[in-house]
Amino acid sequence: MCTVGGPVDIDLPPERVQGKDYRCNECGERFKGIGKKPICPSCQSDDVSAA
Amino acid sequence: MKYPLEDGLLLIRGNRSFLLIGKAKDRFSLCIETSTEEFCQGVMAGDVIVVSAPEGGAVEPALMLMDLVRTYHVPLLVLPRNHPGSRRISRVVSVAPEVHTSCSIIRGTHPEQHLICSSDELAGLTIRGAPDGFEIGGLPARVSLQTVNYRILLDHS
Repeated sequence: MCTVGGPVDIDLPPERVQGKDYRCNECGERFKGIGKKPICPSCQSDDVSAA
Repeated sequence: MKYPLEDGLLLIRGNRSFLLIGKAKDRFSLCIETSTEEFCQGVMAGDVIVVSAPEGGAVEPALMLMDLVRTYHVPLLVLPRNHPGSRRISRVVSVAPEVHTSCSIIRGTHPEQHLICSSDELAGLTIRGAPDGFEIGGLPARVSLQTVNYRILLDHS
């Protein structure tokens, strides 16, 4: 394991990631987005809205 | 410190581990699959892609992993905590505008893309894309930097 030394002590469980729900205005795909610039995983459009 | 590089990759080698660094060539949606959910992260051209090999080994598999994400936009898989397969993962990848290396996380178990597991000798680095290369902070003195260019050739004959 990668747990010796280092400057920070972080073990981030996946459940801590809070994605936001989005809907693509181009193809209607619904997805959970993270980051500042969500992109639809189906059609790659950035024309998405919070759902 | 700035490290100029156009389209190639940067290899940072420590004594027993390495990082392979590249930049996203285009914008795409990177899917991150956990055991229960899918998260989709918007990747912009110029975002940093880092492959870490905390125990070193061959560079070629890291190149392949880089290419799978950078060119083919394959989804990333995240293991649940305490998954027995975590100890068998020898190379991990993160994609973000800025990536921090840490040796205090369990490899393959965190979907956050701004952190990547590294060896202790390469921990504490901050890697950020710059217009003509990379900005890397916290680089220790005893590492070597090399540019890497490669091409995959298919021979169908």
